[in-house]
Amino acid sequence: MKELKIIACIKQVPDPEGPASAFEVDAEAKKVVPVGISPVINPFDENALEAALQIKDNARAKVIALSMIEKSVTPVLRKALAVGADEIIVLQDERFRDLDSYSTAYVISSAIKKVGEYDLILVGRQAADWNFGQVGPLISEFLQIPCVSVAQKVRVEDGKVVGEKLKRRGYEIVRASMPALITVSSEIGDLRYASVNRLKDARQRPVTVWNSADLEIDPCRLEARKIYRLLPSPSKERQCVFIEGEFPHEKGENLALKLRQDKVI
Amino acid sequence: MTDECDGKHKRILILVEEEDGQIASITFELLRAGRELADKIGGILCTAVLGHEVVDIANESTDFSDECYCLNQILLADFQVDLYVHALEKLCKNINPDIILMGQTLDNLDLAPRLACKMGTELITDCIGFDIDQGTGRLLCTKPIYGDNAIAIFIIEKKPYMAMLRSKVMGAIGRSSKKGKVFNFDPALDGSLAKTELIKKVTGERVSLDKADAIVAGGRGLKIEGDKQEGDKQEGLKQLEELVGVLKNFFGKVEVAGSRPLVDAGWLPPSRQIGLTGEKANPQLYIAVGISGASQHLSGILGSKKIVAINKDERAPIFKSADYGVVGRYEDVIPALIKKLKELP
Repeated sequence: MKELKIIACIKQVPDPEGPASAFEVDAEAKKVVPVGISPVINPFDENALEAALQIKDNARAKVIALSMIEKSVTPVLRKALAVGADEIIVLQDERFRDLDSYSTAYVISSAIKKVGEYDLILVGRQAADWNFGQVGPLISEFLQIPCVSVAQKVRVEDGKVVGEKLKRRGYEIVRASMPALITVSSEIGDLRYASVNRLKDARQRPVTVWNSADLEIDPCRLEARKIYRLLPSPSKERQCVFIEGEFPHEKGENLALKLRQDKVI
Repeated sequence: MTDECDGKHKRILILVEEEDGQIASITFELLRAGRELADKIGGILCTAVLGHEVVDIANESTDFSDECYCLNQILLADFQVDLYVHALEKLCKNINPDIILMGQTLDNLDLAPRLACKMGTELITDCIGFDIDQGTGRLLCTKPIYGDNAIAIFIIEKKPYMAMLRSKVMGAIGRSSKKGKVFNFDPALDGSLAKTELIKKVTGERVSLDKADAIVAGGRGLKIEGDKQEGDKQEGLKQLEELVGVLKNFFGKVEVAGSRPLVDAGWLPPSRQIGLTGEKANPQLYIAVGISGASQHLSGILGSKKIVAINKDERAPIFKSADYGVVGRYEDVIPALIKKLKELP
């Protein structure tokens, strides 16, 4: 069987596991400013990369990580190389700052066209920063290829891709011819670890950088997100009554009594 | 097609969701949002019902809307995204809605972006509120971002304005005094448009966390304990289920649920995940066990009447969002809680 070419799209985001206080709202600049948290690969994109590597574990495949960023390539993105991606392409241009979903998908699909032949595109179901969840399906629309959305498993079988598409209850096993695009959900599993040595090696590996001039794109079609206002999230805080007790089991009993006393149960 | 379809009327189109042969609750929330917008712009509230043998649903939807477009087709019996996109595109080109609203569901995450692309417009997903910009008449969409740590209000400039509504953030609509009309619409579907092939449906259990009166949910805390004592991995889950059993003496519908890490670890099916990418619930009582309280989780339970947090880490953020807190190992706290609950008259 010929070698599969798999493109995994990854986005750098501020660590979504950061505490609420780490996301400062600059209402005037209409921006969220991360404070004291490191950038990471969007966790759902890590799932997508893991899905790509799982396919590579079982078949002859080349995995290309593709990322769009406005500034320079970071060690965060190089992690993709450390875990087993064969190549990384970074789309880097000031013009790519704050693009809306449609324009983002336009740029990424232009880059995929430049890559040429490919079999699979894997994308996280959504990004942890803007939580839109639409760039994947939009890319499939631009490229006119089949899309399996929110998959908890992906495999390649007899030259076709088979995905388990999550439903509200259960899932569907769906098959599509390749090339195809799959948006990947967290159920697929966490991205494998990269050893310190491989992370170090990854720093030396070459990175392909394309800017807007390298792609066949019309800069007039690039539009920024249209934000009318940006606000802090309303407080989710409640007044917590701590249940006391000398031993944990006493606290358990006292919780039952307190809930009864307050007519919660 | 219809007399009203003369371009004079502004239409707000709601995509009706069906569950267990009935209109799903998110639809009534969408209809309420749609009615409020219709009143603001002097528009007509319409529904689109897609599926097979959906005539009853189409009829029922007109108890709440002015018009219903019924696409009753055998090819729409299952959700096949290419066919659904095509059918809705045809309908929209025919009735020219100003605004299209859909529920934030897994299927619509597939459908809506592609419909927006075909219609040459933009889509704002996972919204919690809508308004009309007074100056321009454009749609304003309020959407939590950065894992619900901030809120953005987006303005959509291209028509039709398209948005998806998060469930449980808006009340349900009441019946209208006047029943709307049903129009049948044939999108002239061709099965060969489908680019994916359904091999098998694996139906999960019928669970609706959004309808639960009480929920007992576990988080990473259970998993960490479980990992330590491999073999006895799901002991924590058994305790939660036992607590669910006792709570059934006090509440009608009680369910076990989990945060994302627990579901990703395969302890519970995705249909039992609470949070940003899972279900939204507003039970009378929510008991969070071993859940740290990340904002992504909290976004699924904000409407809960009372929240109880049980966590051995007194600094866990969940306590800030709880009404009652117990600092302690759940293995000690829950059995005592169960015992006492059984004793209560």
